[in-house]
Order: sequence, then C-alpha cells, then structure tokens
Amino acid sequence: MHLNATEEWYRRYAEAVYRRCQRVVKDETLAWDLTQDVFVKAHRAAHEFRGDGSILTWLLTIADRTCFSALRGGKVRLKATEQLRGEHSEHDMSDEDLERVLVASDLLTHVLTDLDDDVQQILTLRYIDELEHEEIAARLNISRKTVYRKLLSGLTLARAALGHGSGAKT
Amino acid sequence: MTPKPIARWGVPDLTLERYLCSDLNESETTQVEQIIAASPELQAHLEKRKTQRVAFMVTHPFERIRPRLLDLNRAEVALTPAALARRRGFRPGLLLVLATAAVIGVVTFVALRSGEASELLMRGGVGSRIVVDRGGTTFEYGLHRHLRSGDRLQLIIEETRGEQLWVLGMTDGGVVRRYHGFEHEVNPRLPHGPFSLPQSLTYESSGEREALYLILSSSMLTRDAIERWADVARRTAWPSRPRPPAGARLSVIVLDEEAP
Repeated sequence: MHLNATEEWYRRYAEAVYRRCQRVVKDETLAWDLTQDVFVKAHRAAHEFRGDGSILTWLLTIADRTCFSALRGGKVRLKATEQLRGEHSEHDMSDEDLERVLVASDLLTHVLTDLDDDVQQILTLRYIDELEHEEIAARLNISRKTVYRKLLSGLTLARAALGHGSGAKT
Repeated sequence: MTPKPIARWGVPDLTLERYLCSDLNESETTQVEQIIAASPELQAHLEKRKTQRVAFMVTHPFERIRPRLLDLNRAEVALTPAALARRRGFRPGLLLVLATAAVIGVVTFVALRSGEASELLMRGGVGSRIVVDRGGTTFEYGLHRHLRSGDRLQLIIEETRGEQLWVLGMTDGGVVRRYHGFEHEVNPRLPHGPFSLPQSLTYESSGEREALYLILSSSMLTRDAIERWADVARRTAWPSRPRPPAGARLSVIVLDEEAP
C-alpha cells in the first residue's frame, strides 16, 4: 500500500483506534504502542480490506486482535482482584448493574484477559461498541442465541472476578 | 442478562466514532445528527471527543509512525516473490507474473531512490492538517470533505524543529494573502514539537481558488526574503510548486470548495 494512503487512514482514524486500545488495555503508553502496531498491520494487509465496508470497523477489528494478544501475553498490568472487589462489593448486583460496571470500569479488561478470542470479540462489541445482540450476531454471522450464551459466560466470569459467585441474575 | 440496548447516548459508541471519523453514509449521518440535535449531553460529549481527536493528532502526528512504515515498504521490496505469494495467499499460477512484477519493482525502486528527497518535498515537507469547524461540527479537510464559505480553518503543523514559520495564501488570480509570520522583519523561531496556528482562518468563497503555502525555515530568513520568494511563486502557473527558499521546508495545500 502506498504510504500516502496509510497516512490518510492514520489522520482520519488513528485517534479512534488509540481510544479503543486505551479502553481495552487501560494503559496510555501501551495503547500508543498498540495503535502503531495496528497501522503497521493495516498497511501490510490493505489488500485484504473490502472496499464496501467501514474502514474504521476493519481497523478496530485489527485493534481488538492486537489488544487481546497483548492481554494474553501478559503485557497489561491488571488492577488487583482485591481492589476490583472492593470497588464493586454489592453482592446482589443484577445483570444490568454488572453490565454497567463492565462498561465503566476496569473489570472488562480483567475479564477479557481470561476469555477465548470469540468471547473477547463479542464482549468488546457489546460493552465498548455498545452494539445490540442482533447487531453483534449480524456482524459476526452467528445466531443471537450464541451471542447471548457467550455474553453470559463473560458475565459469569465477571461475577467470579468480583467474588459474587456464578450464574445470571435478572 | 438483558438484551436491552446499553448505549449511553442512545446511539452505539461505534456509530458515534464512525460519525466523528466521517465514516457513515449520508442517511446514517442524518439519523445520528437528529439524535445529536435533541441531546445537549451528547453534543457536549462529541465536543469533548473532537477536542481529544485534535489533541491526539498534535501529540501523535503521523511522522512518529512513518519510519516504521518506510522500513516495512523496504522490507516488502526485499521479500522474495514466493514469500510475498505466501503472505498474500496468491495461487502458484500467479507466481510468474508476481516474480516479473517484483523484478520491475526492484528496478523501479533502485531507479527512484535518488529522487526520494524531491518526492518528499512535493508530498509535503511540512506535515500538516487542517481541522474545519462548520457551525460547531468539526472535520478534517480533505478525504472528500471540501470547504464552504464561512468555514473556520485551524491549521496544525505536526512537527516544528525550532524553525521560523510563514503561512500565506495565493489565489489563481495572483493575489498573495499573508496569514502568519509577517508581523516581524525577522520571524522568531517556534519551539520544537507540534504547533497550532494561534488564530483560525475563515474561508470565504470569492470566485477565486486559493492554495495555502506553509514555509518552515531553519536559516533565519527575513520577511523581505519571503516576500521576494512569494512574488516569484505567484507569477508561475497556479498552484505553483516552487522550490522552497534555501534551508526551508515547504508544503502546498490547495483549498477546494464544495461543488454548489
């Protein structure tokens, strides 16, 4: 890909990619390193981009994979479990409350670290991109039931991380 | 677990980000703008995000990543055709064509190496961008977003190296407009790092086309020297791309107006 084309992508989308990385790994320095990695990968893989889609969505997918890899590789310094538990100590937290905590706190990063790729992707689309179940299903070409099931496994893990036992509450 | 929408602003965050990046189509943009118009909180959120976007580009200009990409391009040229084929998933039948293209590519690369400096100059020896404010909506100039009369333009230089800066406009009618750096006989040096022009420029449709000229000089030029240079530049075919003054870097940005 010509450098000028990547430069245009960078000028237009880099901050959004950086913000995504920052929200997943909760570390500004690492987020900047990962943002650079994303654009290097996009520069190399530009021929894979289908022109009819959203460039930002494509770049964010690359960003997610790059961030998840950093999470798996132990590059992310996670907030101690005890601290998270102290911040969210209500034992009867409903699923709705738990989802709010996932959106607003470091809990999501904590949970993402321990999940398989496919569940990581679904949780990210739900709690960072704020997509509805149907939109996630359409995006990933899977059923809504699968989306629900995978989200449930993420919530179960979140409850466990907070020491609230397991199982969904409504 | 609730399948209810969880979007804080009534619009998914991804959609808002795509809106900020001008990545939505016309009908999607209209839909989002209707929601924005009805929500002062969302308007405030988007203003904050726009400020963050501008600040990011000042602190993380493309220049910071360019060397890695240049290295990558050079490594690509050095790859064997077979390795390229594996990477790009080409079928074996295409290898012969690829090999031929690679040979041509290497020859072209070697032939063009001596011309690299001038290519950089024409592409913009000064890394810069223009953020346009149109009635509270901010976007980056270029990429299919052109100007309207009344647009406020904020010019951002991505990296200065302790140089002097002049910004001037030249119209296709030969008019020179002095926007920055002409207050003193000898313009003071800027600090190192990113620089945003202190005052925004207002674009006014006048029937003439205009190009912005950004000159950064490390050799302490006088105002007269720049005036003489501009006088020569305005006499050549618009938009002229003259050699910059000695010791200076130059970028030329043509300001395109939206079709009526």
